[in-house]
Amino acid sequence: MIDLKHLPNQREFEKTMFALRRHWIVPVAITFIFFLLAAIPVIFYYLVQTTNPGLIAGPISYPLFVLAVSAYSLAILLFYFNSLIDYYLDVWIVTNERIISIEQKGLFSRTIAELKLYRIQDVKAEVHGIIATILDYGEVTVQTAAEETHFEFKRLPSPYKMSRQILELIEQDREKHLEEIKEEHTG
Amino acid sequence: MIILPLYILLIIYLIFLLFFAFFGLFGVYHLIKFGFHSFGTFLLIFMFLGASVIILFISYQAIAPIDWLQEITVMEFGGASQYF
Repeated sequence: MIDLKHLPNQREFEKTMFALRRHWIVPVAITFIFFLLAAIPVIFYYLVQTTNPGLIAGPISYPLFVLAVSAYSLAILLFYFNSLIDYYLDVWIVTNERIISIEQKGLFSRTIAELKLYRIQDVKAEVHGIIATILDYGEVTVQTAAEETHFEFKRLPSPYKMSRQILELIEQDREKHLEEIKEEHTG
Repeated sequence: MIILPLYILLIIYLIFLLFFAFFGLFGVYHLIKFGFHSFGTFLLIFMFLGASVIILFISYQAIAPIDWLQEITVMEFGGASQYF
């Protein structure tokens, strides 16, 4: 289990500033889809009961219906649970030294990467679309020097504010690592 | 004409339950291993396990009175009306 107060390879003066997850609209949308799917057997049962009540009361049709509804309910629950895990485990941990990006892709794929703040050259925040503008979420991209890796975090809440905060932390970290940056540029 | 016991449906359902248990417990394992040391992690696990138990309990209540030893006749000439 990850403890935000005790990160892996944490340095002596390293402090966790914030942990970022996608906007709340993501779990709300997942929950909405879950309830929509959960309503299907209820609607089906209601329609059958009103049109042909005997249809699911037969010696074979009844057990078939019960088992099918049970399996369907468990399947959508599993889908909902895994979608929430995907949301919950996708996180950006921003410390005063680095950004750790943890990305969960389904159940069997997971990527953990980190960028040192003083190496970051560009922070970009983008908001596209009406809903994203109203609810204030968007994409934040953090990039180091050319040809190096970049982090992209989609549907992040308050992207402009977050990018400003990250930029402030980068400036503070650069001052601490001034010597290293000079050496890199001269060497 | 093929005659099958009704519990064949139960066996198919149990195979599905094995898949469900595997993927569900794998998800729980993921949360415990990679999740944050927070209330949200435990809430998510509790909600999933709780909802699973409720669905399984209701299903059990519904299927318990069924006589699973009765037989199903499939591919019999005479239409599907016998099943309903």
